[in-house]
Order: sequence, then C-alpha cells, then structure tokens
Amino acid sequence: MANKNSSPAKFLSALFGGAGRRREQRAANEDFGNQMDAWEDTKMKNPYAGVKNPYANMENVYEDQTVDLKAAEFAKEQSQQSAANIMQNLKGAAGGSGVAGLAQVLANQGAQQAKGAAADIGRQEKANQARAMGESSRLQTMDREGEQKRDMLVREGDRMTEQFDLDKQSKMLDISQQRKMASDQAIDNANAQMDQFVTGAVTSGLGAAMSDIRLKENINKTGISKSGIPIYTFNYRGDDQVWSGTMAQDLLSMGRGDAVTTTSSGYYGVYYSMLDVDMVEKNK
Amino acid sequence: MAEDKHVKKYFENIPYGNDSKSSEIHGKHNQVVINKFVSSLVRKYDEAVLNKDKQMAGHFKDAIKKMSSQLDNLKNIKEEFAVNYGGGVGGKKLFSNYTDLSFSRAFFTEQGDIGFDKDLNPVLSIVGEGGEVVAKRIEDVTQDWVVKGTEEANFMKMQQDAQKQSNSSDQPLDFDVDWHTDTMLSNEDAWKSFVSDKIGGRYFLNDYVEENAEAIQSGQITDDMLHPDSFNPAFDNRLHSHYANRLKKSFDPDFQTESEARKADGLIAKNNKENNQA
Repeated sequence: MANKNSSPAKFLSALFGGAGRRREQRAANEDFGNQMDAWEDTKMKNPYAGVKNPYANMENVYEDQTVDLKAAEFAKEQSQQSAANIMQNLKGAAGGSGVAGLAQVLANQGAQQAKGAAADIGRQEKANQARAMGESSRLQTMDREGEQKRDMLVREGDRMTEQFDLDKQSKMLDISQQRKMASDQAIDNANAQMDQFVTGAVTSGLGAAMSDIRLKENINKTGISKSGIPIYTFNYRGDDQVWSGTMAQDLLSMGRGDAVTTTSSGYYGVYYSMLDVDMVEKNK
Repeated sequence: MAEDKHVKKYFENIPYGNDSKSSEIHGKHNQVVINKFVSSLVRKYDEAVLNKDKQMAGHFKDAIKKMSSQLDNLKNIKEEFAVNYGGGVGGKKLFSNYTDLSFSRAFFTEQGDIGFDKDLNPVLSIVGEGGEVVAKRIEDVTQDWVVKGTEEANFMKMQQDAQKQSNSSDQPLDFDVDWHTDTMLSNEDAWKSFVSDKIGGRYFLNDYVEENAEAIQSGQITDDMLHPDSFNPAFDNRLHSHYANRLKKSFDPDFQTESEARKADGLIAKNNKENNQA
C-alpha cells in the first residue's frame, strides 16, 4: 500500500541495501571490538603462585599438572584436533547418523573456536581438578602444617584469580546482553513496519493495482490528497467489495504518468507506492 | 567458515533497495517465474470481471492475495535470517550451532528456486552438496532454526552465585543445583544451545568428545548416543551431569566427580607404590 508508514520504502531499511550504514556501524564496532579483545586477553596471575613451603623441601610430583598452563593449553588444542579427527574417521568409516549430526555441530563450532584458543573458566576448573588430585597425595608425604599454610596462600591467590575471571566474564555478558537488547529492538521495529506493510492486497509490491475507470462502477469522489490527487470510493464491476483509491485516467491528465502502467490486459494500473493515496478496502 | 563469509558478504552487498518487491529479492530467475504466475492470474481476473463472473473473479483475486501474502512472509523470513546471521546490530551471529543452516544459507543467497504447487503454494528448493534436491515449504524453513537466547547468562549467574557463596560463608548452597540445572536445560528447549554453543567459555560437545575419545572409538558409546538429539535431558543425563558438576565445582573447588575421584585414587596408589619401592 502507499501508506507512508507501511510503505515498502521503509521495509528493508534495517537490513537490505544498508551496506554503507552498516560499514559505518562496523567501523565503530571494530574499535570497540579491539578493546574487548584486549580486555578478554587480560589475565590475572596468582600473586602467591611462587610461595614455597619453608618446612619441607619435598618435590611436588604434580607441579607440572597444576602450573604448566601452556602445556595444558597446547594439550587441549591437540586434543580438540584429535576429537575432530576421531569424528572425521568415524564419519567416513561408519557413516552413522549420530556421528554425522555430531560432526555437523562440531563443524559449526569450528569457526568460533579459532577465535579463542583457551577457555578461562575451563582452564580454572581443570587447575582446580589437578590441585585436588595433588592435594590428596601431598597430604600423605609432606609436612601438614607448612603445606597447609602454603596451600592456603595459593588457594587465596586462585580465588582472587577466579573472581577476576568471573567478574570479567560478567561484565562481558552485560555488554553482550546490551547488544542483544539493541538488536532485539531493531528487530521489533522492523517487525512493526512489517505488520503495517502486510495488507494482503494486490498492491503489496507484486504489481500495480487495477485502477482503470473502465473496470469500476459506483464511483463517488470523497476527497483530494495533499498533492491534489482526487480520491474516490468504487467497486470493481461484478464485485460488490467497496474500495477507496484513485483513477489512472485522473493521474494521466495530471501529468502523473510515471505512476501509471498498462497491464497485460490493456487496462491501466496504478503504483500506489508512488502516491500519497492509499488503496484500501471499505467495509461491505 | 567459508560459508559464513559468503553469506555475510552477500547481505553486505545485497542488490536490493528500500522499495524492493517481495517478488524480486530472490533473484532474477525467481522473479521471472513469479511474474509469470501473477500476470497470468491478473489476466484471468480481468477476463472474469469483464464477463461479470463474480465467483471466478473472486477466486483469482483470492489467489493473487494469497500469493502476495506468502511472498511477503518469505521476505520477512529472509530478513530474520539476515539478522540472525549477524547482519543486525553488533554483527553477532544469533543462530545456535545446533541449527543446520545448509538449506537457508543457499536459498537466501539466491542459490535456490521458487516454484508453485497446484494450490499455488510456493515450494522452495535448493541443490545440496551431493547433488540432491532439497525442497521445503515456507512454513518449514524456520521450523528447525534454533536461536541463542539467555542460556549463557542464566548459567553464569548461577555459577557466580555459587562462587560468591563459596567465598562468604560455611553454609551449604542456598539453592538446589540439580533442580535448577534441570529447569535451566529444559526451559524452552534451551538444552539445544547448551549442547552445541559456547557456555561460560566451554563447548560441552568438545569436552564430551575429548573425555570419551576412547569409548567412542571403541564403539562403547554407540552411534545413537552421539547424535546431538540424544543429549535431550528429557531422556538422558549427560548434559545435566556436566553443567551440575561445573556449578558444584564453583561452590567447592575440591568437588570431584566419580571419574575424577577414580583418577585421583589411581594417582595416589601409583605414588604410594613408587614411594614404597624407593
């Protein structure tokens, strides 16, 4: 319909063809994204990680497991690669639908995984797990008192690190939720435009509405649009549905031939989207 | 992924303006087909009007209206696809990894065809990677779409809650982890996202495959237990265990699952043995 609020002119403005606008938006987002990436990469180290037990000179047999994050990270990457290989092999060998479905999801994850090699909280939990295992065996061989003090300091440091990670994650989530809300608002706006736009009439963009005076009867003039186009009520011959709209012949005589077309049947049609007149159904 | 780039590039440079019609946004080849159908219907409508055949004219008018509204719906779906694919504010992809987008990706980048059945309902089709034709009706296109919601935020809030309580008191957690995990997973099919998306920095499926690599390869975990649908918490507790354990660990860093306890016991036994030998 040609209603300004429901015009197709507004319909795809949020998305389609908005390349320039989105480029501007992305440029602004890029700087923000870089800062976010830098922030994401920020790590807090345990300030007590290097504290040693002064009461015992015993070697911690699990030290490598608990503090060698680089090795753990590398191992995780290796293992992810190996998981992908396992899936690939199984898919090729068995061709089962379960493996195929799993491989599909893993493939979807692939692009995102490349962005973040290690997961902060995952690493933290793995460190906790290794520490718990180490704790069980150390208690049997090390001086309890000194080890306990040392351990408490390390735990305090770990908690501080963990809290830092959680706070960071929380802030990032807040930001992402704000973005989501802005995105939802944009969708709501677009949907509102869509609701106005969908009228189901022939004029909705598929073609021009048949507005030839020769096809109409019971024509009554009801007003004039702001641009001076006469508005009528009428019904099509053989159909008692009453419509409000304009006449192609009027437009031609006013020099508005740009909004008139000749249909395949030889009758005139009108592009209402180019006029400040609506073609609307009147109550029967 | 290459497909992602292709789709984003398409929507970035989409050749349709603000006044684009619902018949033209799927490519020239489809516009020709649609116009052929519409012009034929309009011609028949005109003839019926001239012949004063009210019933027939109404029939054709309804058909045109129907076709128009269906194509408008399709236009709406294409817009929704673009937004969910990262064309919206912030450029975040909102589709869950759970969604198989192979059909939508091809069709909405003009690599598909629109046809009409005998009732003038549009039938959309693409040619798949293996050369097979995949056809869908408009109402089926969005049926399997899974869009990410607040799953990660819900989980992180619970995890932070547990963490805070762990720091501040000697009391047990003030909420039931298993009950809340259950609710969180089953709420509006959120489990689909929990299975396949990054939650709190980790992918469940990756962890699962990694931890069970041997059992998967040996066939101990069967094919039907690997399909993403098999993790539906209504029938299976693997997803529940994973997330409930993560919450329990947030509250108690020393919490061990059964398998972790077994591993620890093994290490202790090995250590004791080495000490005895020394």
